[in-house]
Amino acid sequence: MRTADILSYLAANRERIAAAPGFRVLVLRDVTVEPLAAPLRYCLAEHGLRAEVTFGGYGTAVQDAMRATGAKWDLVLVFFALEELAPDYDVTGLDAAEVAERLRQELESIAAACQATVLVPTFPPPLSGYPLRRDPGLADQIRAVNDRLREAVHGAPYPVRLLDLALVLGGLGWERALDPRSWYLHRLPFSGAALQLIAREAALLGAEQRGHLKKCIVLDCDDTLWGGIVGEVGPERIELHPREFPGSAFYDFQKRLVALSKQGILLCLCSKNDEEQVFAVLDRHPHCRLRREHLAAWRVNWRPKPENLRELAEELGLGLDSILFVDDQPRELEAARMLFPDICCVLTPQERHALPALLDRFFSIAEPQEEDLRRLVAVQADATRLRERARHGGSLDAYLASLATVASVHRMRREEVARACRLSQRTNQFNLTMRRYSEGELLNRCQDPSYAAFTLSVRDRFGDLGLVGVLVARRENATAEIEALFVSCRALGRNAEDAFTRACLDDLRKQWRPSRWRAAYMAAARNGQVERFWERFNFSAMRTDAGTKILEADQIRTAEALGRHVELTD
Amino acid sequence: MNDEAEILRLVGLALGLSPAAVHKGLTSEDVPAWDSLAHITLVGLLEEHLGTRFHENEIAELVSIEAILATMARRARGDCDN
Repeated sequence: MRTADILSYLAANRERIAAAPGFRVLVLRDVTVEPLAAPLRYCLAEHGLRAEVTFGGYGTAVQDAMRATGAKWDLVLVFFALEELAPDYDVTGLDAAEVAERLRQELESIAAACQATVLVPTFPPPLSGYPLRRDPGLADQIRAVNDRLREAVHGAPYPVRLLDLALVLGGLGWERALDPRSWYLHRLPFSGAALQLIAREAALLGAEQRGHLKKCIVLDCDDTLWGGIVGEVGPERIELHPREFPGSAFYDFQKRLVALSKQGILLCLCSKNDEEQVFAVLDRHPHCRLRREHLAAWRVNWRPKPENLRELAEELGLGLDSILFVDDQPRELEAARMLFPDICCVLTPQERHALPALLDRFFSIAEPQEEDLRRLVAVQADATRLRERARHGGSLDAYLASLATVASVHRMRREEVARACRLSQRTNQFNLTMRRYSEGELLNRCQDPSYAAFTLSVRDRFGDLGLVGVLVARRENATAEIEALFVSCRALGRNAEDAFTRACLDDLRKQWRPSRWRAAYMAAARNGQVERFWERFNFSAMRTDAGTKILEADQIRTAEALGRHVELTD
Repeated sequence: MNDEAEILRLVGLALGLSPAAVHKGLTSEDVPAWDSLAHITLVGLLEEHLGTRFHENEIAELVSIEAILATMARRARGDCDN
């Protein structure tokens, strides 16, 4: 994308972006990276977030982080430069262990000070080029530093992610990703194209934290999954082939879609066609990579597409903002956009060679986290549950019993912090205090003995819903105070929230022996359903502080009936 | 759109100025937002849109619209270092 398009987009959408939730990014650096701000604003806006970008001084990353303590950052980007860490490294060589250890210490200080997820890029080749007498040792040394940095990041007890520049900028190649002219003139190592790719990955991490990642791709068929109109030319004559262009572009696009489905992204069809014709291609075309079993749902009929899109979202239990709608007809996209402004509409490119990479900007090249994978796959099981509920007619009890729900409740583990953080950011309905946590804040609560953080994971006979609930409590003298309680709407309606709360309160009663309990309810736009939740546990409203109802109890009640049809495990 | 109009548009875009505020006589001294960092963005925009790549010695001289136009005119005549 050209810089002018990015700046024009930001100018044209200024008001819409201003109304979006803020996302605070602190950029700490040894080098000039200010031109990252515009693409970062653009990429975060694409995910429904308003970037607030702050740059630290040159070579003062740790000091700037210390000064920025308490500022509620969402993401800290740290651009170290070997040219600053070891100015003569291209002559004297690098001690990978020493450099990596210094980086590890600095990252730890930054993470502790900022209490936010830290994103650190790997090191590129030297901007001055390799020494004239080519020294293969230097390339190996840089690789060794990057390997050790990766090890430090993977084993870190604080939230930090690696931005592997070799992967992120691989499509450009170093020749186009690094800019020696900018380096010598402005101390800016990266080209504009490289900064856009870095911004894209950083924004994907932001979207992931806020639960704004796309979960479902709804696809048109003709001239999207294959070339030509299947209803006119027949399944045998559509353009779809492993080697012959333009069929090869559609073939590769399908391969990418199948790969995304294996990562848990749901694929759906929404096509004006005869269902029989479309499935003649999916079931029998020799080169069709996308098969019926890859689809979560489909609407292949002659009805208006917005109606079909709404039905698909309902069937899969997804918000429209988590859907990408891909079509070759601008008027179909416009119709969808008019009715559902939250749907992200993507027009297939007129030049077919650009089709395979069409959706790259929506999905990180980083491996999906296991927890997210499970959550996304669980969406497929939800559709089955809906059908099961219909089968049980009006009996909720019979339906709940048939689910065989098992709830696992335990103290939050290090590996659960990232997912719990994202859940706190995006849970609005069953959320008692609307408390949003950064990864650092949650990590602190796992380690600080005056806090207790619990997680709820749920599975049933249809599948594993993964981590769906969090309760955080704080001990102050003899009082146990519930700081936060939120449960994903995916897990509601099966009494798991009652079973979870009861298990947490039981645990706190045994561990802390409090003489007084305190809880809160903060009224927000969508959490009216939990206004009286604490009354189930014998809490009484005492007062209201700045819109937050404070409830207290001397003794809590945790009746067995709460959480019926839910089996609890540790 | 000719090069001159396009250059005026790009300067406005890079510096966040409305079209009415951009004229041929504009220099970096007139616009506080035209600092060294905005200059990097402006040079990138001009290169992308005008299909050119400035010589390293030219970049620091592109501090007014007249200078940008003069540089582009020189390039059009083939009168440049690269």
